[in-house]
Order: sequence, then structure tokens, then C-alpha cells
Amino acid sequence: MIRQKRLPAAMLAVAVAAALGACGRTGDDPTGGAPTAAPAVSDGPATGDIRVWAMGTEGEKLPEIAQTFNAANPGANVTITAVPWDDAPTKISTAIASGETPDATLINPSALASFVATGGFAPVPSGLVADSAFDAGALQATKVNGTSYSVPLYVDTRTLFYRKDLAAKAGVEAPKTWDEFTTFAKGLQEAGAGQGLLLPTGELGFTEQTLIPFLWQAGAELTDAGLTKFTVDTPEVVAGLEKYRSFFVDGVASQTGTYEPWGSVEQRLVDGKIGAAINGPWLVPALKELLGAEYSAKIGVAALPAGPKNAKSWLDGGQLAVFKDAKNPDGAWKFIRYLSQPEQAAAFSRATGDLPAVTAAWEPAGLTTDPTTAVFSEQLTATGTPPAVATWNQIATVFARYGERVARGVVEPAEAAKQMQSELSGIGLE
Amino acid sequence: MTQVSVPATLRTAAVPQPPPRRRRGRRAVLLRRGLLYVALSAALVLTMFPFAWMISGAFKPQQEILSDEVRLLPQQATLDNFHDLFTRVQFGHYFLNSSVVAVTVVLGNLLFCTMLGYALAKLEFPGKRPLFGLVMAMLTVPTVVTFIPLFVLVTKMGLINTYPGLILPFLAMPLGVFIMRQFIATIPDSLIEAARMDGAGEFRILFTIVVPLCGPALATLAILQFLSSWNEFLWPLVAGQTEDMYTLPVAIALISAGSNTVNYGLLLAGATVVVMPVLALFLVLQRYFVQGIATTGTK
Amino acid sequence: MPTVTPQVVVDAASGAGRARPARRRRRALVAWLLALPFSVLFLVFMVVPLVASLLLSLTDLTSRDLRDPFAVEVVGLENYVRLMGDAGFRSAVVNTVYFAGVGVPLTVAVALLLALALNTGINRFRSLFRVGFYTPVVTSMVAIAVVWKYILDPGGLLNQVLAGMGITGPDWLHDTAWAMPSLIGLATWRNMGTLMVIFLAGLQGLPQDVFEAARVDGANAVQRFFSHTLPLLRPTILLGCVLISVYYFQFFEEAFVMTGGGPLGSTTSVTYFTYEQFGYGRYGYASAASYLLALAIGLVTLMQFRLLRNKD
Repeated sequence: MIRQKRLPAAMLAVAVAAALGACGRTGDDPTGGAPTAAPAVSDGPATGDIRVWAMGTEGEKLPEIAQTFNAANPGANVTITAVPWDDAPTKISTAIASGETPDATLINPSALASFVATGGFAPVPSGLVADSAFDAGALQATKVNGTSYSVPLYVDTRTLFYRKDLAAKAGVEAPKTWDEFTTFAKGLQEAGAGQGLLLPTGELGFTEQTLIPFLWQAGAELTDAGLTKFTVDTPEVVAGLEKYRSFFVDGVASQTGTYEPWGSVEQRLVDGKIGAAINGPWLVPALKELLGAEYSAKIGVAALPAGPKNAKSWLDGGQLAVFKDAKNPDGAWKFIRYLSQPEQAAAFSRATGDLPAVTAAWEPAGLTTDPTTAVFSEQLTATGTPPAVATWNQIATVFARYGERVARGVVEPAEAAKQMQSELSGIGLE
Repeated sequence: MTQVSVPATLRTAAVPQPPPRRRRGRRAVLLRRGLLYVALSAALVLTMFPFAWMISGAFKPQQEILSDEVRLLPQQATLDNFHDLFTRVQFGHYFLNSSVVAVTVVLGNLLFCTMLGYALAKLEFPGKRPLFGLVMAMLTVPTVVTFIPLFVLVTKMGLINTYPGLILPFLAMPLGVFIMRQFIATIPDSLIEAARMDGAGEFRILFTIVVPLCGPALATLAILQFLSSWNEFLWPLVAGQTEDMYTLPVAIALISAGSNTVNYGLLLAGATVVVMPVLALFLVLQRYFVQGIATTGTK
Repeated sequence: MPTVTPQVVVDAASGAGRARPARRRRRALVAWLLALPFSVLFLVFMVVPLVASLLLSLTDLTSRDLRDPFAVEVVGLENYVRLMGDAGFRSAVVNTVYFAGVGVPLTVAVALLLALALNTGINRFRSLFRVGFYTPVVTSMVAIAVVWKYILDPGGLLNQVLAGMGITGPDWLHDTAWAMPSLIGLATWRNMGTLMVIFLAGLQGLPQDVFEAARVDGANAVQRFFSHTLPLLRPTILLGCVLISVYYFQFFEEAFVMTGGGPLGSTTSVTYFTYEQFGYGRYGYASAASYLLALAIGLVTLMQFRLLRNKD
């Protein structure tokens, strides 16, 4: 994106420069043209201080791996700073704005494009880690306009968690199709669950991740292949919205469903307030802690039921990106390369419970024998990712907002698709 | 000496008024007072409930917190949450950071706001009115407005991830100037004039005569400033780039939004620890606090 | 420093009027020395960022310009014009006015009631009450939100109590009609302590002889309140109104932690809207929105001064 500087802009620049203590860095256009080809990273040991931001469980567990890295690279010292997930975007963008960044940060795939647009991240050096080492979906999610800006660390996707005992009581089995899904949820409710299925409505961050897969499953694509325009006002999107709405119309899902009200998804599953929920792998340890020995008798996990076209679920995960203003990019890339070795990825997976993006790490991490993981592994073959565009945050709120409107019956699916198309077109795909 | 110089408004504030009694209906008065106590106590219980529940929750295991049964006291009291707080996260270190920042911010504001407040209340100088107007106008500006420019500025000064970077933006708070100016204005000019006649300079007058009379206002300022500094979240989050510079609210956010499942016990324990110093400060200073506001508010 | 020719100083109380010019100049210099530390910090860390963001609000700065903030275009008042036509912004304005319009009088009324009750012959446990009613002020929102979600949950404490009285309570935070009242209740709970202390202070500063006279005249408590206490307390109420209005018009935290601006956007305030725009990286637009808010707060404050001060 190239902008013409006009005279008033130049004057403003002087004023702002005076006001801000003259920040420099004019000249290099962050996103214009092809990214500068990053030099390959050498094989030698890493040196110097390497500062990394990480969120959540990863922020808590990465220091352990960092220690083994420091031991293997005596000249290097990795420091991990834990950052709250919710506030990470604020922290990363203010850091980019000031030019005072750490070397690398953990990041969500859906947030990547917006930071790449700021010019704050460096492209991944060619040949850092062979593409074939990673899960194909996870690798795809590191690309913006065909260039990789991050290295996938772990993947997660959403599957169906349900009360196995209630399903048995109702005489229903894990659903394979949309039709069975409805019967299934009704059955769980008749067998005693407060609500057959938990669907988030209007809760930003969860609603769009649950709603959009319904659209995919109906065969919808949110944009055209070239990412030039939205394609939301389509029969497929309407069909997806209608399926999503049917759970509320049938009374098996609450119009005010949330993942994070008072209490938690796992607690409500255990209490039978809900019979089933679409959720990620982190729910497994939480449920095991609550249920103990009863876990396998009470909880079932299944891949999402298929719609008319496919059974895609939401692909998420964590990736590591290196800042353009990093003081030690070489060290940061070497640390990331180290984490991508199957044995390190396996060790990290054992510490966090994450599913490694490095496929060769699954076996040493003991994931191939676990029945629950097998379900996630199966689901990973059918996933989708949102369009990798800078405006994703804004786009996500549109989906969350219309999810809530459809769920509450404020707007009909066909009308919702029309309005979404118009709102989304206003936001654009830059 | 100090006895004589207490401003009139303060004296009225400090004197408890004798409860009015009438001959007729002593029992009616007692009854009314009894009802008042009952009503106030009921209101107090309602008001304190969330607070009490927070503290009791800090001693409960997660499952008990989430249970539908309403129980104020924990069934199986546990110290695990507090233990986790100080072992899993470096809560002690964050506590230190928060204390350093809050105490410096409070002391700095006490000093600078008093100096400016005195100049505004008792001295004439060119630019006085515009300065006061500008400071007051700043009271109405939402903090979110200046956030990004401020961050760029502090970074360019090389203060990111340092104590000065956490402290300096909060050392000059408009509300403090307002409180100090209003309070100092109530101090009789004759006192100051007399000192000037004796040949005392303005600095000496300020620190030996005015400041000793400002107890209530200083207490008010200290409480309000400590409260806002202690609970400030967004600035320390971005200005502290490594964990050793985090403050308590950031640590609380780490706990509550740290992973996909919320550890409520840990969160409530953290909140309990965080609230205690502020509560203690209020307990100690509350009497002066009311007086301080009395003078500011009625002027 | 601007050199203004010293004028005749009307403030005779300060004694400057009698001073010789040289002494007056020296005193002005000392005054500036006293003002200097605050002024410098204030200028650097508040005024400069404020001016910078005012300039930003006249540009189309977005997050993609973060590393190169000078490559933006000046769009003049376009951001402001677009805000006026933004349905999201307009609904945020309505929500904010709702919150402040109900919240400010309610909080002032509750706080005044508490202060009056504590000021009439409560001698025992006075400190306990005072501290007790103040505790909500000192608690941090993130933590206390957990407790309030528990209270306001459809199966939560409040509805359990209501059920005991035979009333089926709503899903407070997810009902478009009840979400805002719930947040107003929460805000009142959190802020009544501050106002209570202010009003208590104001009540204690009132001259007692006036009330004694009224009592002798046979006025009852309610009459005394409206004919004497309220007029005398007006400056204090003004202070309380201004402080709480400034805060309530910036209403954000309660919605952020309790409702996420929902349901159906019914608790999205102007500050929330601004926060979202910052999140989208539309910094110019967000700055413009926050300037409109600052302007509105300034106007409201001015209006309150007019209404409550110049009555006698």
C-alpha cells in the first residue's frame, strides 16, 4: 500500500514529530512491494539475549524449554515473559508503534495478518524449518499474501464434547451428520441435560469460531479465492445460519449461551447443565480433574458432524513470530528452530498438553495412542481458517454480532446474510 | 500553636454534634434510632456481601466456588490458593513493584500538587489562570485518548520497562491540584501574611506553616492517588515489557485470562491480597479523608 | 514563560497589592518555581500526548502506519463527520446517556441517603459503617466481576433470593432490557462510597444553628432537609455530581468485564466503542470519537455548574 504524502501531511508530520520527540523511521514502507528476502539462518549456536513474549499455559511452560536451549547454547540467554492472552494485541501493537519490541512473540493465527500489515513482523527466513515438518493447515495459517511470517508451535481445533452417559440413556450416538446432530442434542436434553447443546451467541472470540464452521459445512466460502471481495450473501451462508438457528428454534440451545459466564464449560458439562459443547483440547485436562476416574464413563469426544459439503472445524493454535525491530533476530530464529525439532516439540507438548504443529512430535509425545487425541487428529484433517487479512478483528465482530441476532430471532438468516455482506464490504479486505 | 491556627471549617467538621433530644417521645426516638441501625446494618450487609464472598472464595477450592449452593463460609477451607499465588506466579515481586510505584506516585503528587496548589491559592503570577484552567480541563479527558502518543513518547525517552517509565506519567495529577488548591485557599491569609512580615520566604511558609495544616487534604489525596495507582492496569501492562516489571493488576490479569480455563480461587486470592493495602490505608486515614473532602467540597 | 506586565492585583488577601514591584516580581518568580515541577511533568506527559492525539484525530492513521506514522493523510474533520453517520457510534451515545442519566442521579441519591443516615445520631459503629460502605470503592473490578457474575447468573444468588419470594428473575446480563440496569446497579454499588464520604463531609461542615432554629420553628425532618440541608449542601452535591458524571460518561470497565458490550450491543458505551476502534487499529477514528466524548463531558460539567451553582 503506497500513500502519497501531501503537503499538509508533511506539516502534520513536523508537528507530530515535535510532539512525540521526533520518531524516525520514515522512508521504509512497511507493506509495499515484496517483503525483503530474509537471509538464511546459520547452523552455528545462538548467542546473546533473546526475549520472547508468550501467553497462557505456553507462557508458563516455555521457560522450561528455554532452559534446555540455554544449556545447549552457552552464549545465549532466552527470557520468556508471560503476557495475558486478552491483552496481548494491545501490548504487541504498542510495542511495534514504539519500535521497542522484544525479539519474538507467540501469536494467534487470526491476529497475524493485522500485525503483518503494520510491518512489525519479519518474514520467516528461507529454509529455517522444512515445510513438510508441519501440519499442513497450521503451516497455511502462517501465510499472509503467500509469505510465511511465523512458525507454528501448536495447533488446536474444536470438536464435540458430550455427556456419554446421557447419550447412552437417550439411545443416541455421536452424530455424523447435521440431521443426527439435532436428534442427538434433543436426546441429551430429554435424558436430563439442562440444554442439549451449548452454542455461544454474541460472545466475541467464541461465537464466530463456532458459527463460521456451520457456514463452511454448508459449502460457503467467506471470500473469493483472490481475497478481493466477500461472498457472504450466498445460499450456502444462509443454509449455515439456518442450521445454527435451528438449535435455538428447537429449544435445545440457549439463545444466551456463553462460554464464559459465571462458571465454566467443563463445570456445566459435569453438572449436566449442558449435554454437549463444541470446544478445544484444553477441556480434556479440566474435565479429567473434575471427574477423575469417572471421566471415560461420562465424557465422549467426537469430530464435528458433517454438513451438506464437509465437516470443517475452526483451526486455531499458536505461532511464533519475530519482530522486525528485534535486537537479536538471529537468536530468536534459532530458538524457534530448536522448538520445531520433534523431540523438543514433544517435550513441550508433554508439558502443556498442546498438540504440536510438528507432526513427527505426536508419536514421541504419546499422542497417537490416546483415543481423545485421535479424535482431534481426525478433526485436524478437516479444518478451515478465516481469511488472513488485517481487518480480521473487525470482521470477527460482525460475525459474532449477527450470530447473536440470528440466535435471538432478531433477524432472519437470509436478511442477516445480506446485511453482513454489506457491513463486511464496508470494512474491506485490505 | 497548631491549635490556634486550625481553620474554622475544620473545627466544625471535627466537632461531633450532640444528638438532638426532645422531652416528648424519648421512646419514639429510641425506636427510630433502633430502626435506623437495623436499616443501616441491612444495607451494610448487602454492600459488603460481594466483598465478603470474594474473601471467603479465596479460601475455597475451585469446585466449592462454582457450586450452586450459597455458602458464605468455606466448607473445606484451604490455603492452597494463596500458596499457589506466591509460588506459581511471582506475586511477592509484583507486590514490591506495585508498592514502589504507588508510594512514589503518592509522594510525588503530595509534593508537587501542594507546591502548585499553594501558588494557585495564595500567590499571584502571570499565567496563573490559564494554567489552572488547563489543569482542570484535563480532568475531563478520557485516558484512552492519550495512550498511544504517551507510549511512543516514553519509549523515545528510553524509559520503557523502567520504574521511571511506570511512575513519571502519573506524577502530576490534576485532581490533586484541585484538592490542594481548594484546601489551601481556606487557610487564613493573616497567618501567611504574619509569616511574611517576619521575613519568611514562600518556601518556608509553605513547608512550615501551610503543609502542617493540610493533613486532611493530604490524606484525601494520598488515598485517592494510591487507589488509582494501585489499580492501574493498562499502562503497567504495556510499559512493563518483562515480567520483573509487572505490577499486581497485570498479575491478576495473567491469572484470570492466563489460560483457557479460569482458576477462580487463585483469582479471588489475588484480589484479596491486592485489596488489603488500600483498605488498610483507608482505615488509617479515613477520619482525615472526610475532613479533607469537607473543606474541598464546600468551598 | 510569558512575560505579562504586572497588573493591579485585586487579591488583596495575598498581600501582593501592598508589595513593592520588585518584591511582587520576586514573589511571582517564586510562584513559578513552585509551579514548575508539576507544570513540566503535566506538560510533557499529558498536554503533549493530548495535542498529538488531537492531530491524529484529523488523520486517517491506522495500525498499518504504526511504524511509519508520518505516511498518513490529513483528512480534516472527516473522522468526525463519519462518526455522526456511524450507527454503532450513535447507539453508543444513547447507551452512555442512559447509563449516566440514570446512574448519576441514582448514585447521588443513594449516597446522600447513606450520608444523611450516618449523620443523624449514629455514634456507635460509625467508623464501621463508613469503612463498610466504602469497601466497594477499593476493590478491583476484574476480581469483583467474578462475584457479581455469580450473583447475576440466571441461577445465581439474586434469582435464588427472588425465587424465595415467588418471583422468577430474568437472565440479568443477557436480557437486553435488564443488562443496563444491572450495570447501573453495579456502578452505583461501586461508587456510592466515594460520594457518601463527600456528602458526609459536606453535612459535617454545615452550620448547626440554622437547624436548631428550624427545629424550634417546628419543621419536621423532611421539611428541614428540603428547606435547609439541601440548599446549604448544594456546593457539595455539585462537586459529587461533577466527579461522578465525569466518571460515568467514561463508562467502560463494568461493561467490559460483565457483558462485553452486549447483549445485542445494549451496553456498548462511547468509551467501549473507542476501545473497539483502537482494537481494529483505526487510531484516527478512535481519537476523534474520544475527543467528542471529552467535549461532551466538558459541556455537561459546565451545565452542572450553571444549574447547581447560580441559583441564589
